[in-house]
Amino acid sequence: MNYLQFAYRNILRHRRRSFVTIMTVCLGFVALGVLGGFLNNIFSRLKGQAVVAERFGHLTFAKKGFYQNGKLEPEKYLWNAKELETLLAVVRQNIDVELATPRLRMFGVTSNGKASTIFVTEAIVPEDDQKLIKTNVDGRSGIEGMVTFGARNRDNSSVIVGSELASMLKIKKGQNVTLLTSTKDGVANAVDVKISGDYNTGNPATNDKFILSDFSLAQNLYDTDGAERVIVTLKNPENIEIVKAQLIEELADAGLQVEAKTWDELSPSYKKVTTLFGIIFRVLTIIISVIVLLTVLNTMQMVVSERTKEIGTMRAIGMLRGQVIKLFCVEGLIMGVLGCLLAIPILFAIAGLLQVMGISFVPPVASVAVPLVMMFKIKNLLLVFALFSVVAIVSSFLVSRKIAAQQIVDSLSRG
Amino acid sequence: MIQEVISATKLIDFEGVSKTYQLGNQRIPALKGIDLTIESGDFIAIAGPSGSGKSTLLNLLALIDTPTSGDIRYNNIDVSTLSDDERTRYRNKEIGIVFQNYNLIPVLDALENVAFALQVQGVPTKECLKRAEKILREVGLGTHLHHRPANLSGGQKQRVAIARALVTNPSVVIADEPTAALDSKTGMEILELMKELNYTKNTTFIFSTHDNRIIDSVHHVVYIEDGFLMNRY
Repeated sequence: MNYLQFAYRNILRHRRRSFVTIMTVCLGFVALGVLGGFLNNIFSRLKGQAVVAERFGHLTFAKKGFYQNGKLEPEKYLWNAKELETLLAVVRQNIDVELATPRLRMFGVTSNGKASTIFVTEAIVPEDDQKLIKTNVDGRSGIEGMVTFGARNRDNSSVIVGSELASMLKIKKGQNVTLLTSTKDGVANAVDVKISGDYNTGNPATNDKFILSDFSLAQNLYDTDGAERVIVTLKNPENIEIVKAQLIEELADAGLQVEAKTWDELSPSYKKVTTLFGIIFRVLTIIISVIVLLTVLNTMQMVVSERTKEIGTMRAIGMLRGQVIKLFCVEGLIMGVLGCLLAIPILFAIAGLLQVMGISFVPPVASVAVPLVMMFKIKNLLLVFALFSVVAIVSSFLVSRKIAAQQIVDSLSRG
Repeated sequence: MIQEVISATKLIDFEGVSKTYQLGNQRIPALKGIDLTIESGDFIAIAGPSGSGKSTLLNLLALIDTPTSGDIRYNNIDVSTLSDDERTRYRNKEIGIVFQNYNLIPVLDALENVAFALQVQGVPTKECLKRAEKILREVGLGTHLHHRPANLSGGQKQRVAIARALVTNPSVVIADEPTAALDSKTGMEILELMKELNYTKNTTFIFSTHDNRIIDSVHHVVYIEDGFLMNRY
């Protein structure tokens, strides 16, 4: 008879009470699992939106100081052709790098001939963008409905506009618009471009002003043969900080002082949403953990109260205080573990049901509906598993510590 | 006070042991200056009217309670200086306890109940079960090894309790009215069993009782009244 067997039999003594306790742990686990699953899905979709739809890639390299002063002195923070060539060569030789592509961003006014509005254009290399939109984000390759230029036979004077911008200007594929902007030296410049399509950036803040343009067109418009940024995607994004540091060092060795930003640093909406929902999730985790703690505590209190004489007997026979505490902790642990184990199939059943129902919704700060599905991360589930197990042990410890310290004669005189 | 020397070879030595309980603001003396020496291998009954202090004396003898004053020595070890864990280990090795209401653990069968006393010592399970089975056969329960307490009669439960007390080969078995919950026939059987074990194993037995038939069949009787050790014969 070991502690596990002994504790298990004790749990079976009070079947109904133990069942209620196990179900409380189970429901707590399911609640956190469902919420966590939804949040993981939302975060992952927002990540895909930032990395792919907003074209941030995983890492962005710019000249040092670009993010502070780049708008005031754009010409100072442009890579020239030679620097760009060096930068791309250094970055592309890193084995963790999947793609490195130059970018230019310009701001200005676009007009359909009758109405004008501001625009932001991200100038992309079409061949590279073909690869970027297939970037693997949490196991999903690319985003449904994502539009880019064709890799071949392209017309570099065509652009793709944000769907809200297209709607505002009432422009359709095949129509022309004028882009009015300034060169790097501040001289006004304009070009007529053809609409080759529209797409939803996924972010309402950019969907009404975003224009994807060809990199060579933008270079002409901006009067440069260089680029202001280089976007990098990685084979294994989990190593992002390591690769970032490596590349900064390698580029410094090549004589390029750069600053690098990760995709989440460039996507304030992602930060805000994850921070907000992260807080909500943590608060709920605390509340549910306290409920589990109080339930197990209450159960163990009743168990201990009913078994006080038995505890006295075990102590009299020779069980040490620590062994009594250990026995009750194992009982609590078994209930915690059983509750969590029971919750896992329930969680997957709910996930499967949602998948079958095919419900979709628009997440906060997004403009594209995403399927209401749950994305489970084994690490997170294990953390909740560990948390509830610890909570069950702590509850049992708090109760049994007191009874174990009681005088044996007092315990024996009960019930 | 009477200096009670039952034999020359000391197993247990009480010197001026008193026990006072605090009930609210009231102090209730249960034992008053008990001096008592018990030799190993003895078979002793502690007798006295209800409330005389028999159970308190047994609790102190069993090391499950501590005196308010006085010294208790076991094999010349001053047990009052031991920590709780040390006292528990000592009790587990040297003292077997039999309760009036058996106090068996309901989720364990007879074999496991007896083995339990060894398992808390850290003896390997196989060895525990082997020794438990042997002692259960000795007390006549070889056919009830896997019966849980709920499926045993009162006499059988008490046999399991005695087996549990003996399985660690203690120097002394302390029993609080071990026959009180049994019918007279079964009570006498249990007494015979204890006498036999006392004889064959030379284990000291100390038990409290009201039963005159039992008092007549022990080596010595310690009589206690109002917390004082009054007499022995």
